[in-house]
Formats: sequence, C-alpha cells, structure tokens
Amino acid sequence: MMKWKKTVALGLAAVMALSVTGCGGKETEGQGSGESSTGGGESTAPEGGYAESDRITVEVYDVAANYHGIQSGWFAKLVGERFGLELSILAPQVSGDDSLYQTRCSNNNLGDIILLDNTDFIDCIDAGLIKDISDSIYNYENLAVFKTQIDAWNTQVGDGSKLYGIPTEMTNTSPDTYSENIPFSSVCLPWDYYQELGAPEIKNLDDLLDVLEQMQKNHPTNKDGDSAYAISLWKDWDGFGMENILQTCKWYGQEGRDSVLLGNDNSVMSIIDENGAYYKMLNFFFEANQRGLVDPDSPDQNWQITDEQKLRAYRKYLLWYNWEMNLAGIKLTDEEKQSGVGFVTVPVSDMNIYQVADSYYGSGRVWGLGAGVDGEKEKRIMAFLNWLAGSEGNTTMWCGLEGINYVEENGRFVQTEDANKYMLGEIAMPDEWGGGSFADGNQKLNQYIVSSMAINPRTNEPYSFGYWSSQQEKPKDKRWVDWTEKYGKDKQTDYYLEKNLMKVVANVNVVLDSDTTDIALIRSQCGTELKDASWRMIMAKDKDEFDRMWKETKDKMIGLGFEELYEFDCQKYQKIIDVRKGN
Amino acid sequence: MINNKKKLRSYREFLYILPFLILVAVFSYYPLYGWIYAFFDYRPPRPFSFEDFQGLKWFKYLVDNPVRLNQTLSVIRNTFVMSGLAILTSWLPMVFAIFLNEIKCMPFRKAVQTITTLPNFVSWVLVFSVAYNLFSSSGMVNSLLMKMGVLERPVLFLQSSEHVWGSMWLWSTWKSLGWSAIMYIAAISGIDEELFEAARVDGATRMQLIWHITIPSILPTYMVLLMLSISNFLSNGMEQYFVFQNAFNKESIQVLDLYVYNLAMGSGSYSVATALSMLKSVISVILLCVANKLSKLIRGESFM
Repeated sequence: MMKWKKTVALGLAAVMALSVTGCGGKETEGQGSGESSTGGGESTAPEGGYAESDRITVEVYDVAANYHGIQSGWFAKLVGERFGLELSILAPQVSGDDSLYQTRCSNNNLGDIILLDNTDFIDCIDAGLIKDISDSIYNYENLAVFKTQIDAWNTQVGDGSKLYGIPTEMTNTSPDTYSENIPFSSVCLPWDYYQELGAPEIKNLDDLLDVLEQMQKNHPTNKDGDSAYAISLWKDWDGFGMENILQTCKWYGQEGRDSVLLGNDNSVMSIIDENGAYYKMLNFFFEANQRGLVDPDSPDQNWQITDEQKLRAYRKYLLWYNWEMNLAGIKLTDEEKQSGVGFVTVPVSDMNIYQVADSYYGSGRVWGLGAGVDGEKEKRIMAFLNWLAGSEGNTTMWCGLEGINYVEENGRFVQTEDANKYMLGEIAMPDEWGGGSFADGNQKLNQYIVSSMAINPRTNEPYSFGYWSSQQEKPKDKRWVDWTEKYGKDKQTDYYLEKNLMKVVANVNVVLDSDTTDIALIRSQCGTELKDASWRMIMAKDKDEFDRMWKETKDKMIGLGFEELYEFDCQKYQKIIDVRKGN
Repeated sequence: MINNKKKLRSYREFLYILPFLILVAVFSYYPLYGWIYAFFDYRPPRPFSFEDFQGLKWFKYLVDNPVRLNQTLSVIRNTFVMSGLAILTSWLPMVFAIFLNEIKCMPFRKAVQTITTLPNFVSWVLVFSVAYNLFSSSGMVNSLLMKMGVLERPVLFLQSSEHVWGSMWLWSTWKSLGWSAIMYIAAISGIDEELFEAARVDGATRMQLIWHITIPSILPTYMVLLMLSISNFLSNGMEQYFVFQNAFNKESIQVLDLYVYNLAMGSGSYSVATALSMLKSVISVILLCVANKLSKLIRGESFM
C-alpha cells in the first residue's frame, strides 16, 4: 500500500531542482502553530557536538526507505555531530517481501527507531515490540506542537491511555483542504505535443487514447532517437492489484484499498466489480496496448528504470503523479522551458478525481521506538525525532542546507544560484560537509514527521520549495502561462474543483483492524492473483482473451475466499467512511 | 577380560562418530521442531502461543475447495514436470563425459571441460541477468532482430508462458551439465585400462569399447545418482524459478519449494507453508523407499 512514498525523496529532489511547478498566490491558510526551532531535547548534546568516538549506532527499521545500510554523507555528519547517532537503515522494501519484517519480529527486535504502517504498528505494540513514550514525549517542544494529532492517533490504541507512536507527514494546515496546486493523480501530458495537435478537448478515455496515439505517431522517438511510447508501466510497486491501475483509479472517484474501492462519495465497492474504476482502467490499459501504445519493456522494468531511462528521457507521454511531472522536467534546458516543453495536467471532462486532503492527522504510518531502547540512547533518539518534528529539522529534510540550497533573505527562503548544480551532483559538497554529492549524502529515511505542505514557522511559507514566495515571483515556465491563459485559473486544483472534476475527501488517520491469519492468507493470495492477472490482461492478444482471463481471475479469487475478505474489508473501511462523514 | 576390552573399544568408537551424530541431530532433526507451526495459528509479530491450536486446519486449507485444490495440484504438476524432465535427461551428463573422454587432444578437452563446468558456479541471479540482457524486450536478441528488420516490435521471450518448461530445462542443463559430468569422468578414469587393451587386441571398435566397457562400468554410478535425484524429486530448488518467475509464467513454473517460499515470505502464512513442506517431506520419504525397492528388484542391491 501507498508505495508512492518510495519516491517522496525523489519528488523532493525534483521539486528542489526545478523552478515553480504551480502557479498562483501564496497558500498560507493555516498559520504556523508556533513551532520552535530550538529543540528541547538537544540540551543533552555536548558543546561543539558529539565526538566521533561518542556515537551510538541505531537501527532504523524504515518501511519507506529505498536504501539499506548505514546513512552516509552530509546527513550522517549532521546527525552524528548534533545527536551522537549513526543511522543504520533497515529497508524492507529493498528485499521486496515480508521476510525482513517477519524474521526481525520473531526475534523480538525490530529496531531502535521504527517506522511502520498503522496496522503493523498496532500489531507490534500488542507483541510488546514498541516502547511506551507517554512520559517523555511532550517534554520535547517540537513534538508537543503536534499534541492534537499525536493524541488523536494514540487514543485508538488499546485503552487509549498510553502514547506509542508519532504519525508521519502531519501538517499544521487543515484536514479538510488540499493545499497543493495539482491533484496527486491526474492526466498529465507533454504540453508542447498536446499543443501541436491543437490541444483538442478530451472528453473521456477514448479521446485520451486518440490523443496519445497521435502523439506517439508524431513522436515515435525522443530527441536522441530512442523509441518512445505513450504509456510505460512498472511492476515493483504492485500490491493488491497493479499500482499503476490503482493510482489511475483515482481519476474516476475511487481509491483501491485491497479488496475494496473507496469512493469520494463515501461509497464502498468491490475491486472486481465491473462498474468500478479498477476494471475501467484495466480496460483502458488493455485498449492502449491493442493500439501499440504500451511500452513493451513494461512488464519487466522497475520504477528506477522507468524513471531514469523513460521518464527523464522524455520517452513516455502519459503521467499521473503530480511529482512525476517534476522528475520529467529535470533535464529540460531553460530554452526548452521557455518554449513550452514539459508536462502539465490536462483536464478530461468526465473525470471525478479522488483527492485526499492535506495529511493533517498523518499519512497512515507511524514512528516509534523499539521496546529495548532506554537511557542515553533513548534521549538521543528522542532529541533527533524532536528535531525532525521542528522547523530546523524539516527545513533540512525538505529544503536542504542553508548556504547550499537556500539562503534566508528578509525572512523568507531564496534558492541559491548553485542549488540545482548541487542537486544534480555537478558541484561536490564543501569540505565542512564532508564532500561527496548532495544527493548521495541526502537523508535516506525517505519519510517525514511533518509534511512538505506544512507551514514553516520560520518563514510562514510551506516547506515545499515550489511554494516559496521567492519561487512564485520568478517568471513561470511557458507551459504554465499557457495553461492559465487557456483554462483561466492560476491554480490547477481551482479549475478542477470549479468544473466538478475533483472532490476532496477529508484526511483521517484511523487505525484499522489487523488481519487474522486466515484473512491475511486470503488477502495475499487474492492480491497476487489480481496483480498477475492484470498484467496478463493488459498484454492480452484480443478482447476475447481479455474477457476470458477476467472471468477466470474472478472465479479464482472467489475460490480463494475473496468474498470473506471483501466482507472483512467492508467492515474495516467503514470506520474511515464513518469518520469522513462525520467531518 | 576380552569381553571387557571389546566393550571399551565399542565405546571409544562410538565417541568417534558422536560429533557427527550431534551434527545430524542439530541440523536435521532439531529443525523438525518447527513442524508444530503447521498445527497452530502463528503470524509474526504475535508471539507463538500454544492456545492457538488449529489441528489439521492448514492441511485442509490446501485442498478444501476446487480452486485451492487446483492451485496445489498445479504446483505439484510443475514440480513433477521439471523434475521429470531432469530425470528423463539425466543420462546427458554421462554421455557428455564419455564423449569428452574420447577427445584425444588434451588442451581442447580441458578447455571444453572448464568452460562447461564454469556455469555451475554462476549464481541463478547472475544467470537471470544474463538472460535478461539477452532476451528482454530491449535485450540483445530483440535489438539485433529489430535492427535487421526481422521484427517490428520486440518479442517478449521472458514474459511468455509458451515453451517455458523447455526453456527452464535448457537453462538448468546449461548450468549443470559440465559439473554433473565430473562424477562420470572420475568413474571412467577408474576403469581398469587392461579391459580396454584386451578389447582392442580383440579388435573392438571405439563404439564397441564405449558400449561394452565404458557404459557398463559407470552404470552403477549413474544408478546411484539417479536414485538420489529421485529422492530429491520434489526439491528441485527454488532459486531458478524464483528469479525467472513473473506474472506471465508463474502458473507454469511455480514449483513446490517456490510455492512454500511465496506462501511464507510473500504472505506471512508460515503455518500453511509449513503444512505444505511437511507434506513434501513425507512424499519424498515415500519416493526414496520406492526407488530403493526398485533398485533392489532391478539390480539386486539397495543403498539403504
């Protein structure tokens, strides 16, 4: 679930490396809630930082990390000197299955700092793997700022009297509004190629396929002569079903959560219902492949290959994630940007985008401490987490380093001239930061306590680079100027909301029931079945084969116990629906 | 007195083998304790508890409706096919060794032997990356064919369930042929040279030498290896199928070991996976006994 978080760091890199992605005015509807930049727990640090010899190695079990090993580079130096810690990151995503989790759980030690999905976290609390931090947590002033959110999460655990976890990606904005300019998932096309076709109105998915087909016909290769395809899929983020399909389901008002599709109208539907978005998008990709629009590399490429070899090289023409557009623009030159090259989000008239509001209460994961952590180690870790929750830590996590990536001018952040060169590794880090490239030394935790859309109390602007007023004042890339001209709005989401193309659902961070062994088995078998079948169906020879495979898959899933799972999930997700309705 | 001495000696000799008995106990018998997971409801991070006794529930789960039964059967079918292919062609290394032995030019013979043995030391992950670079949609074969104008769109060799049994067999044969031949080469060099000389004096041709001396002499080696591979019938390893598996060919190459892995590590269902692997062990023991009996019937000697 939520595999997109893998790329948060990548997205950040892109956001930082690029100029403004959005348009429009400042978004400071929520004032900073008075975070302090000096951490309360840091008083334990010796003058001048911890010595090299006085470092404690802590194991960070991190479900978001894409990197397994010891953190290195400038971030390691910072954490070492400031908090006396060396981070040894354990990344279950790297092995790609549950083995690391299970073996470490059965060994009764997951790690010192633990980041897990909500449900797993609850299981681990029950199993006694997580430390109760009720007594100390609010002594740390940056964490205390998020008391509302932290309490809201922890009251759902046991009898609700103890505090174990700190939710991820909390904001100080609002749980009901969406602050970003572009929906998380929407149709994104290369603006120049779209203009070339006369920017035809796209009424539905068939029109979209027509547009993509013409684009591919006009531009069968990128400028280097490498073959390009309208659609390029990847396989390594798949969970219950294909992640590429699950994300595009959001175009039609539904979010896939294992066996159910949650609607932005608070409806619940089975994922294998033919009226649902999953089947609709499966058909879309199948049709696309029938027209030769799907990259034949799709079934065996992973995200990294897609990103480096296809996306950044302009070899795919349909994107959906908003951060994906930024990555696609990394290699664009200034001239290209000024002539309208690059991706934009393009409205499709029959869409009804499912958009979750800012992650005020958290994004579905939790930070915690291992049960065995105590004494000096605990103090240092808490000081570190406190820093991560505060302005200074988040500025470092999201914006980079002062003097390298940004400077402060008149109370606001301004990007330095060399920021992009540092990001792309064209300039090595200065010796005081230990040299090496910025990206290599960047934090590999890949998950944050505070969201990039939260307001930085130091500047009263979001942490996210693209939303700094200094960035907004820079001349916009031509494609966004054109966009505003064509659609009459500065902010893309304003247009979508006005035209009823998008509906925002409230952010809730509900702890859901964990599976029994039976349900877990059915879930994994049905999920694998649906995922494998989806790939086969997209690549099916013809409609007959497609239909036959769909029927076989449904029968097989039902035989594996899908109905029992669906019933379980309906009850489980009803909790979310109830809270949303309450909002 | 003599009796006592004998007793003492037997104690001493028992001590000689004791370390090995301990090793066997620790590494082969102690792990069987893990079988109890098959009878309980165990899912990490929840600690194991004797209160979650489930009886034969997980065994029944594997076969309790047509779809699950089919899945189990198809896994067993894949295992039988892959092992069956290996056993049907198990004479290949023997023939290869014999022909290799007939090569008179030593440098050439050594070169062939080295080159064919090397793949055995390449891990399956590397073999797959070789396969990937050769046969993926942007791999060498596709690029070449497309540049030559033979193909318009790449052929997805690795994403096809067609001929997948054959290609899996080819990969594993390519990898193991030279290595398996070593045993036979050793056996051939152990044949008494006088036999050949006597036959040559009697005017036997090269083929007659092979047919009447070499093959009968190394047949016992072949039989022993065959028995061993029959007892390993169900354990055809999972690495190869693990690296080659994808959505398109999984139905055809998911063998028992891989299925156990996918169940346990993929879905955290240790209990079902243990139940399945227990069944596997039981069937393996039966197969071994059958092979032993057969050997006794056919050749008059058994190995147990």
